[in-house]
Amino acid sequence: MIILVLGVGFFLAYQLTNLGPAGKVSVGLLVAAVMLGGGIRLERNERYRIPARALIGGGWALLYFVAFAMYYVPAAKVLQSQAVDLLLMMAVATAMVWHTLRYDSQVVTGLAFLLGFTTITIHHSAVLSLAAGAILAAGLIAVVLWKRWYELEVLGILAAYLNHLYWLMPIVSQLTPANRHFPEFPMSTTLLALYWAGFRASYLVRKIDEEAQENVSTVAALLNGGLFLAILKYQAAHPEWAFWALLVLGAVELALGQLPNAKRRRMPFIVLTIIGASLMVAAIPFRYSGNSVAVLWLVEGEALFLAGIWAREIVFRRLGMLVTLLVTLQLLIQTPDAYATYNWRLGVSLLVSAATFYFDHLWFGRRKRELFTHELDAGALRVISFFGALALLEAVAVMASDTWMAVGWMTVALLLATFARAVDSDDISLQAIGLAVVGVMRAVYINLETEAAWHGMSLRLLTVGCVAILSYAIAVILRPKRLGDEIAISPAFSWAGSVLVALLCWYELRPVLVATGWAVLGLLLLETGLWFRSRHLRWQSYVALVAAFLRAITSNLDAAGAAGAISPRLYSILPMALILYYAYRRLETSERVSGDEIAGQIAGLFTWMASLLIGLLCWYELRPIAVAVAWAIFGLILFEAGISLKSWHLRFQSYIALAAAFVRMYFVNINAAGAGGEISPRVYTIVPLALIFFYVYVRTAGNEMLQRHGEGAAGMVGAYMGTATLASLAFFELPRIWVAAGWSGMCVLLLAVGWRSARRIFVHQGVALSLPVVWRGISYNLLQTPNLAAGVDQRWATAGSAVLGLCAALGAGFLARRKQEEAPNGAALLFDYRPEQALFFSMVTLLTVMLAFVMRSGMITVSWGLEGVAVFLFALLAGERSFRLCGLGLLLLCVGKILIVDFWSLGLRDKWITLIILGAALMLVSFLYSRYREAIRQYL
Amino acid sequence: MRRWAALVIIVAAATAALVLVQRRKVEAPVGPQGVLNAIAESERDATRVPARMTRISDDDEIRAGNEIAKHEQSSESRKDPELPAIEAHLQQVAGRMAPYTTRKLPYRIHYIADPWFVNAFALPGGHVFIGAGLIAVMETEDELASVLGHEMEHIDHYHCAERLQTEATLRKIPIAGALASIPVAIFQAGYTKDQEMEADRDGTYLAYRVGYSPTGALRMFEAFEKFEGSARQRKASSPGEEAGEVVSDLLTGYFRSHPFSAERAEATRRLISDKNWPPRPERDLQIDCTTAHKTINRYIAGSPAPTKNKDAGEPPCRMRPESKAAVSVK
Repeated sequence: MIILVLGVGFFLAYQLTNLGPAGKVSVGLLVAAVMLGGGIRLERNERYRIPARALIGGGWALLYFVAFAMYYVPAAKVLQSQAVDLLLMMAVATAMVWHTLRYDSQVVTGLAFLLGFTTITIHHSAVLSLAAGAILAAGLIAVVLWKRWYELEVLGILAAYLNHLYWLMPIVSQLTPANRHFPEFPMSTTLLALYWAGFRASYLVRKIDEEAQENVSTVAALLNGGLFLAILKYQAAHPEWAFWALLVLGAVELALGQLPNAKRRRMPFIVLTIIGASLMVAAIPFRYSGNSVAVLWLVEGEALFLAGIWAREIVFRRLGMLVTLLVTLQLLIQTPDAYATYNWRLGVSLLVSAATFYFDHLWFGRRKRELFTHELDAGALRVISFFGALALLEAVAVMASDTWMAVGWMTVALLLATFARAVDSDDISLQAIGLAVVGVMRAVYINLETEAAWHGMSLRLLTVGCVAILSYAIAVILRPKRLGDEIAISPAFSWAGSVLVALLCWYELRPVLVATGWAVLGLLLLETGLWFRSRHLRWQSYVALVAAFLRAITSNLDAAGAAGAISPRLYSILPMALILYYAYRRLETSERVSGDEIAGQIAGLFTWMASLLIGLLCWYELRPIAVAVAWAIFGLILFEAGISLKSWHLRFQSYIALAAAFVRMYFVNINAAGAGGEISPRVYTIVPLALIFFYVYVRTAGNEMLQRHGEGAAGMVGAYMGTATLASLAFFELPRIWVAAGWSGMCVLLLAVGWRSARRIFVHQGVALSLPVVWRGISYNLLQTPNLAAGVDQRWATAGSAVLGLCAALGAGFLARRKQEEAPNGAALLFDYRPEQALFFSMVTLLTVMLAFVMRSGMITVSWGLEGVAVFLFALLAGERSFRLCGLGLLLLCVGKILIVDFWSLGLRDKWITLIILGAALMLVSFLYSRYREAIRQYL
Repeated sequence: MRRWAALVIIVAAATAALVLVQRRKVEAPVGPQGVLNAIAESERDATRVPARMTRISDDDEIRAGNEIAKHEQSSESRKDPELPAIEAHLQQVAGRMAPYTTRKLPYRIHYIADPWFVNAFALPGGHVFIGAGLIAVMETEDELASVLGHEMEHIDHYHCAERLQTEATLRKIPIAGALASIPVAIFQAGYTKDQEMEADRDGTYLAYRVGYSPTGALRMFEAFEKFEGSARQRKASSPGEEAGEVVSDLLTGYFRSHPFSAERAEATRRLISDKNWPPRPERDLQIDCTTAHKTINRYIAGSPAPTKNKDAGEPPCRMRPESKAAVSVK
């Protein structure tokens, strides 16, 4: 059908030579009549209703076009009056619409209008042809309003504007950017305005029966406004008018939205208000630029918002907030380009924005709470404050230099935090936190890397230091509430501040002093944490101190420095160790951490760390031979400190230090023989160690607290270590052949000390040491082949000295035994009651073997016999049965040796000497047995 | 009060020691040598009693030594034409010292004409072997005397006999049995520190006793130091490294226990000092080992090991033409 109508249209425009304008018009009228007649006839039949309605629509469209062509199409011009033709066209259009309305079909009527518009579209021979479109549009509006076919209006709006656009396109395409004027501009603008006005009037006056109609109407209203503006923009011959055009149109739309009908229906009010406001917002950039635009927008948005408050109108408020937020968003997106440019104007704009936002957020959010009950409104009011924070952030960014930006942000964050605290706003607190996070991050990523200086001072130090201080301040201000006994501060920012200071130390200090710096930081944090009763600050101090320790272990120990100067290792680690001890003491004694078990354990850990550092420092700073001595002194100091401070940590560290000194002695000090003719370093470095070990024993034994804690065993170990140290020193320092004699001397000393001090442990040691004396005396001194270099047989002197030593030890053993018998104390160990027994048999064994080796073979039995008598006499004197039996045993040994060996192998002289002396000895013993029989029986 | 006084005195003494070693820059080798020596000495003491109880007679020792020596003498180096003359000279030097040993044994000195044999060792019963490589290290006859004296004292002190006994027991060979099956390497491996020190002390004394300078022994130890390498005094860079070195030395040193030459030299210096032995001029060595010396120098310089027969055909050592057979002795 459309094709048929189009074909007739072309026919009328065609310059046929055989057919004049009247003929053409007649043909057109005839075809239209046939189509209409056929359509009307067929429409009665249900079966052909659809094609029939198409014929009707097409017929009317053709008729309308024929009327149009009768004046406007030259090939069909039969009328000379444009007014007549216009009336004719209006009559056809009216009839057409009237007729189609009979069928009450929006589709049919719509088709009719479509055909009308299409026909006009393809025959734009003059600007006046647009009038037909206008009339058609007016007719459509009338039908729409009458029949409430609002969907049809959407079609009409599209058809009218696009038809106009189609007409404009060839005209506008000919224009140049320099000259956009064209003669039809006023006419075109007027026609567009008429379209807009007609459709807008239709929108405002219509009656709405159901929601769907309102929705379609809204689409039509938006489409009307949008297409109107789009085509105006397309044909724009005067861009300078855009501001006023948009402003006026916006104002008109806004005003229309306030009409009673619009407000009654609500939706037109919303739509037109939004459109009006948007147009007014959009108008501003056409006249203003830069910050003024944003400010004007913000003013506009705020005005809308305030109007919404004032009029209690939610649309205004929302529009106001929307405009504000969008403008702020736009500002925020654009502002990063202006960072660090000292753009004060922009900065002030942003500050004003921020102030406005916070005012709206707080003032209206609290005073007009009833207006923001809806979740969306309440949310928007909250969001606006966040935009305020963003505006503050950007304001600082554009006003501050690159280096000071972080400080600025932190300052603003602090102000916000203070403000939030004053107004008790969680949102603003959150914004302060956000700003502070950004500030800290910037300090970390930007400021820490800066190498610039300000008046000779490191900008990094200044700015990061400020950020750290502000971070602590924010941490304090953010949560001012007291929680129990502790002032709760925001832990994250105090942690951030501490991390920043730690990083600052790392950047600003020499590598060797970083660990010391961290330790000082840990100390300050600890004191502050105790002062404020802040667990978080204390934990930060723990972390800082542990980090300092780890850093020292991994980095500082190799810092030897220049020869002759105090090593960086020393002056960096020593203060750190002292700080660790101090931290331990503070935590141990402070009432503010009493009951905190973890704090107690960490405090103990600090002492271990400090002691390890001191121990390592000794190793690195001192010569290898001095290390054991230093460790022992250190262990002694720790031991005394552990007792005074009642710290088992320190005492156990002292035990470990002393044990380490003891072990190290065997791998270093023992090897230090020194040069001949002087006291060897071995002596003067090992003797103090032994003294320290003994001191620890004595101190432990006399201290009730240590005994109660079961540390008496450690003291006993110390005593054994002392003795072992001296015995080892004797072994290495004395000539080999004098070792046994030296050890026997030690036996005497130990037993004497044990007797005088009544300390049984020394008696044990003396007795125990007598066994190595015997072993060494026999295996080394006696079994060794003679020393050629010595020139004489030294066995008499060396083994004899050992025997004499054991004799003296035996005397001391008796004294010790007597003392023990007089004042028995505590549980007894082996040899406690009879130390003289082991000593005696040790001495006799060594003496007997010695005589066997050093005496001429003929005199061995004689010497043993004399020894037996001496032992027997001594046994009588001492009243010891075991001794007496030993003496008798020796005499029996002699008798046996005579019978088995001597009698058969000795020379004559040796034989008679042996027999005489041994015989006399046996007789003497026999006499003594008889003489003192009763006494002996008593002993038995 | 007494406690505090004691504490102050002890700390003062320890601090004084610490300051003294620091100011005097006292060096002490870090390692387990002292401990290892003590262990070795204790082991030696432990074996001395059973060894003494089961000690073989001198005749059995001489017979066993002859058997082992016979096996060693069948080696290639015996074909050196200079061998008889050199052995005669060595025997002459040793012969002067033999009367002053404790045990009266037939000491016989054997020359091993191998420049790569930088060693000397003793067998039970009086046999001493010395390599051309070791003679090449020497410059004076005093040095030679100290080495021979040292080896003779290993025999004199029953070190060789005790080792023979131990090996025979471990291999379950009767002393009168097939002792030739005991490898000579057992006797070349060196002895415990204590035994080495003993042999050093009395070997030096023997040489001094017959007129040689005791500095010969010192010069020998200095030469041996070159073979042992240096850097033993270097301080470890960390306690961990030091502990690792100590453990390593402890494990390897336990099986070595042979004293370092520096330590032996120090002991010898102390002996000289203690005995107030006056300095004596040293005598030139009568044996010319230029060929062997070149080989040894290459070895000391760390050149790749040349083939053993590189200088084959030319004797590593020979008697100097101007050498006098007799040396006047006191």
